[in-house]
Amino acid sequence: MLLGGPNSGKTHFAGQLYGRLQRRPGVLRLRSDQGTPPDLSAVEEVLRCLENGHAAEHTAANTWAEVLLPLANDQGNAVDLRWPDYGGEQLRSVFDQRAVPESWRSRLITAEGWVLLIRLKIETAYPDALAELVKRSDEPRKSAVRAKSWDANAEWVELLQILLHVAELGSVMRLRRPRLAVLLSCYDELGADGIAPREVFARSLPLVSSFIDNTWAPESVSIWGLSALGRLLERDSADEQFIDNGPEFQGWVVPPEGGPKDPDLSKPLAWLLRGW
Amino acid sequence: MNRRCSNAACYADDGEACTLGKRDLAECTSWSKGPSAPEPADPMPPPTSSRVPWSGSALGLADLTNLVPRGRSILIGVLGAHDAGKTTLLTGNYLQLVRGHGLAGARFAGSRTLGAWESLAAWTRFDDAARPPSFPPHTPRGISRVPGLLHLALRGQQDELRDVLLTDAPGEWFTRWATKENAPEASGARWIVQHADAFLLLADCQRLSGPERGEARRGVRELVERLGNHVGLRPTVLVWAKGDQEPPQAIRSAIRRALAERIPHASEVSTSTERPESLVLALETVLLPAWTPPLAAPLADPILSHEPFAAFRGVHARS
Repeated sequence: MLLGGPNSGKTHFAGQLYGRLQRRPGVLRLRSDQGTPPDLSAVEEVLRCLENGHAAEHTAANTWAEVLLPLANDQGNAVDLRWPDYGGEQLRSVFDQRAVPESWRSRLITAEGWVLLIRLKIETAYPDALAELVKRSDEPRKSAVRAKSWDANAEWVELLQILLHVAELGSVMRLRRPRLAVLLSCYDELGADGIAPREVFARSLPLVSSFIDNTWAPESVSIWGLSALGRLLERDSADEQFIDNGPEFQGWVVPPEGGPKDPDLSKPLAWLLRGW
Repeated sequence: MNRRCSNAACYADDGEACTLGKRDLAECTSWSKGPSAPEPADPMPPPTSSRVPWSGSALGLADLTNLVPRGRSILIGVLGAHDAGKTTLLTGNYLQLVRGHGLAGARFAGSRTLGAWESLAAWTRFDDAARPPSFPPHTPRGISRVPGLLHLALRGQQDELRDVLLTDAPGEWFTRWATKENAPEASGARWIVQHADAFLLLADCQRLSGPERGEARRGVRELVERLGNHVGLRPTVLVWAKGDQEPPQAIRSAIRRALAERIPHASEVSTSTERPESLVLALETVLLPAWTPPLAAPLADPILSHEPFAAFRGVHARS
């Protein structure tokens, strides 16, 4: 189950992941006995865009498509991966309406692993205001209007709580299933070289990080840095490196404990599937 | 939805989950028995979707029934006069959690009232130059007698989960309750005092050092004396809120004397918004002793007679 809000890079990740699995396999590879997956329509558009070196269009809000990828890991175990692609607004509406559609619910319950895509750059977290407040306490109160939107911390925690509740998972005992991989997408934007993704996450969204650490069992969570493209692509750009070398040579992940950039985008999934 | 559920404790019509856990409301017997709207149902009923049984705002008593059974919970009564800083104390603690700090050695593991926390915190946030952040305003004395409860789930060092509930109640309740215990307006205060596992009692240093200090001293002392009748052995902390102001020594010692007399086991903390960690410290001071409640004292039947046959007849035989 892939969870990510609007603009968090789900589609690009899916496209790049497929490109990797097919043309430059790492820990996971496509099983050759079944040939090319039968239905590629979900990733077709993004693949075409990336081959031309520009960014893919925004996925329409009501889309739901799934690619079935027959995979094998390095131990030769066969796994069928269902990789969904959908408009991120659907996740936002779960939060706004506090209701989870039936189609999501059944997927949440059956999913063995959840992938959470968070693009830290676009999350609104408010700075600690209390210290600031003391300096200003003499000023008269001018109006009774206040900040409308929630802090991203609270928003993600509430969303996860709703999803956990709907998936019939209690949090009194630490969770072992589903395994949770948090991918910090567009990691190249953060300028966080040399810091472990776990650290980056705890620093940017401390409340969410604390919630996840204290709800899942430690061995069932991992936090990765992800840059599906390796660089910023615009919709009208034509990046030469993408066109000449092919998109499968772009993009990298950073493992949870930090370290060098790893071009094998399937590592986080391999980690998720290792539980079997 | 225009239908009301016939179960008074079910809020499915407000967009929450059915209390009985039915996902399709049509399957729920108390829902179908409920009075339905005069107008016909929508031609296109929305597809079944799963909802959650909490709304994110402060919890009422009915909400406790589906939260508290999951584990051990701690209810902390936050008492104090109007404008003593109760809500600021709570907000300060939430903001520290959002910054990723722990509380009393435990770590944040969820909350059913994020909406309420966020709306408190929103007052202090700065997102527009035209709207300076401010302290949360007054908690209104509503019609409802049930205090709003704010919830935090915390996971302790031994991996245990505690549901911490904090009361966010208007100060007038307590002022009224201190004056007249049975006042109808004070029923909320009575509920808190009866059920809380621990108390935070706030004394407003700003008022205690200002022109109304005599009146403020009376208020705090009355509250201490009233609470002393009910507190038993429950942990209590007297919080000198707004501790940047220094009340006169005589007033401070008068309150301390009342405290030592009526609630001898109480401890004292001083808080100030200039030191956000002091707000957390105040809550920790009361949370730590309440974290693991003391074992109940074993019942001991006194031996009433020294004849072997009748020795253990016990107290009940007397009547």
